[in-house]
Amino acid sequence: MTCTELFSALQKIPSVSGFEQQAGEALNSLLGPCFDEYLPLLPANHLFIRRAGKENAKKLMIDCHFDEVGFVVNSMRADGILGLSAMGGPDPLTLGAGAFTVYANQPIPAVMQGAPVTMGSSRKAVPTNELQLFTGYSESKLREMGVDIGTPVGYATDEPLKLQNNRIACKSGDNKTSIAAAVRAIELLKDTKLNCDIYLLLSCEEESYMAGARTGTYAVMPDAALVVDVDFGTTPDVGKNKAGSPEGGPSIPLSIQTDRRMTLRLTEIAKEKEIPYQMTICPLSTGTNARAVAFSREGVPTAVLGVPLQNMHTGVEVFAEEDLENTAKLIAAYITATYSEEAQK
Amino acid sequence: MNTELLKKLALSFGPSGYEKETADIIIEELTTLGIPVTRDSCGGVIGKIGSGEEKIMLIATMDEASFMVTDIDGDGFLRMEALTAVDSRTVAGKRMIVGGDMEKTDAVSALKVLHLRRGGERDEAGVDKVFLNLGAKNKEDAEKLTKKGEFVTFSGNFRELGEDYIVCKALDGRTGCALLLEEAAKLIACPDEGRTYILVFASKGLAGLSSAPFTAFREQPLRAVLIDSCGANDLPDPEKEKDKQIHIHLGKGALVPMYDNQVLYYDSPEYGVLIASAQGAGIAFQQGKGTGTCGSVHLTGGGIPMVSVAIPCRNPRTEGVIIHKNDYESALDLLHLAAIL
Repeated sequence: MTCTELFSALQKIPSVSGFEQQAGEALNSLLGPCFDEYLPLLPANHLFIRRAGKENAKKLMIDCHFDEVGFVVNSMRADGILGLSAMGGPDPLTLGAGAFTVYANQPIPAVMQGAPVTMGSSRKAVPTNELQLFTGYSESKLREMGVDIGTPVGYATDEPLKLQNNRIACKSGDNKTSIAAAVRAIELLKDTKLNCDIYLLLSCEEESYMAGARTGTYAVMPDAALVVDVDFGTTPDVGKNKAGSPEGGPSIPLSIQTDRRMTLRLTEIAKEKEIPYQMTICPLSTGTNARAVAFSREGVPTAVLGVPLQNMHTGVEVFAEEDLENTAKLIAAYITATYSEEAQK
Repeated sequence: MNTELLKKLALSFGPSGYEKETADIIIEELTTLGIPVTRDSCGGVIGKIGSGEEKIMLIATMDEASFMVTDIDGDGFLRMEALTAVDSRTVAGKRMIVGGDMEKTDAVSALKVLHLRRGGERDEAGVDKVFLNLGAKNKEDAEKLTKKGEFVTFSGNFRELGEDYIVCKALDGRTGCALLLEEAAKLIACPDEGRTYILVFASKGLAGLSSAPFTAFREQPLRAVLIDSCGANDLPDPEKEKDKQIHIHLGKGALVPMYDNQVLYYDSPEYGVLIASAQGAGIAFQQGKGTGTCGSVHLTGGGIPMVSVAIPCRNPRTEGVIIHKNDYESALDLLHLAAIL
């Protein structure tokens, strides 16, 4: 499958932060064929393993957080209007009148209402605790359909929208683009004999507490880790030093949070294989799971790759197809150069 | 109700001042009904039923919440200004359509990324802060697809919510078009020899520049009926807790406006007759303040008496306008009463 096909399938699997657990079956049927093993891990991680079939093989972990921003129902009025708490940080200025899905027994389409729409000039965003979600059903009907306090709510799952230059607008770009790229990398390595086991950790709760990456790293005990996440894509009002250009290739952040040698090796391999990449400077923090992964156990050498993503934490996140393919290529090239039998002869 | 017709109308691209796609659908429907069609100087569509002495004008508007492209920056992002009233908190983070003179193209609306907004910009909305992303690489690339002065609308989907509600972009204007087309079919089925019904599908009504008065001036009708929409304000609004205004609900019937920003309807004898006959017929309806999209008809020539029927909408002028199916049926009945009055 191409990265975009993988992404399109992944974005349909609900995974609001804190509600990743029930996705196991859907994930396993989609990604299972690329791997040797699938393990659900606590608290809500999904681990896919590709075995080298060798004793004492090294362990490389690829961490991609699986959760996405959304909401949970925190109150229900008799007329069926739902109150919400944010999980992670959906952009509060992009919610008004937007389409959402309530993940009850069956997905229920819903429309966000702030306070009643008021025409006028500049206005403050509606505070999250005043948002009102409208489904058209009464409270009793909603309860019959399985809606309760704590039911997750996500952006409506429309088909990805194709923009110019093979750029795609969709919900869930953060972080299902990265998962698509990582899985594609494993596909690219199908016929490569490796000396390492590859653990793809689809970690939970990055958008809330980074809990999944920490517990997942303790469970896997990796020798090294690649964290694949998204990076800000260039938009107006965002300095180019803070964002990656679409079609510029994966962002590789240089930061004291991550392993400098591993990071520079990634850039060298990218240059050697002529895979476009962009260096970003994130002095203290990459803003990713690297914080949890690199500082688990005795410390894990970790590098980060970022897919440039515009409009992060909205329902219209935009990425370039080409960047996903190049991210996949770079991951595969890095693994081949570091762990293949050929390279180690 | 004819849901398919409403869907087709609502999903058509009809920004204020460029309603060609919507007009084409309406012309096709009118022609199928055997109603002769003319156009006004702004692209408004006019259909005529009968040739009697007594002229009654029925008015709907074709446009929708819309914007105009004002700038294309070096990186190929577009800026825009609103043509209709909008709530700036509902504009960003949406799928949009850009078009007009050039082919339609898809875009998304966005703001500076949340993580990098500081201080006041964090939660301060404004259309001037929104940019459109076409996926263009730079200005030159964007200019292959669009130009300054092109039009922008939401592209929101047509969805049913629960059993009773419909949500889509543009329902605030297009519901009136659908109602008027359904009424046209009724009027042509039982012709009144003494009357001419002039059906006006106006351009630019939601922008406050309705083309309906042009036809009113030419035809000098005896009276006019405006098919409008109004905001439903039955939700709790923390900002307006002490507000004593009359609340318009979804699902309690269409609104017969007592007045709007431009017309005092209750002043005209027709208003009382309409209310009485609606009550007599047992039609559910509400009374309150309307929105008013062509009061200028009322003031045309020596003055034209008007009544109005308005469909309550939640989230008006957004990608997610919500209407109640019962209100549609009520509006259809009220419109017929108002037409044959």
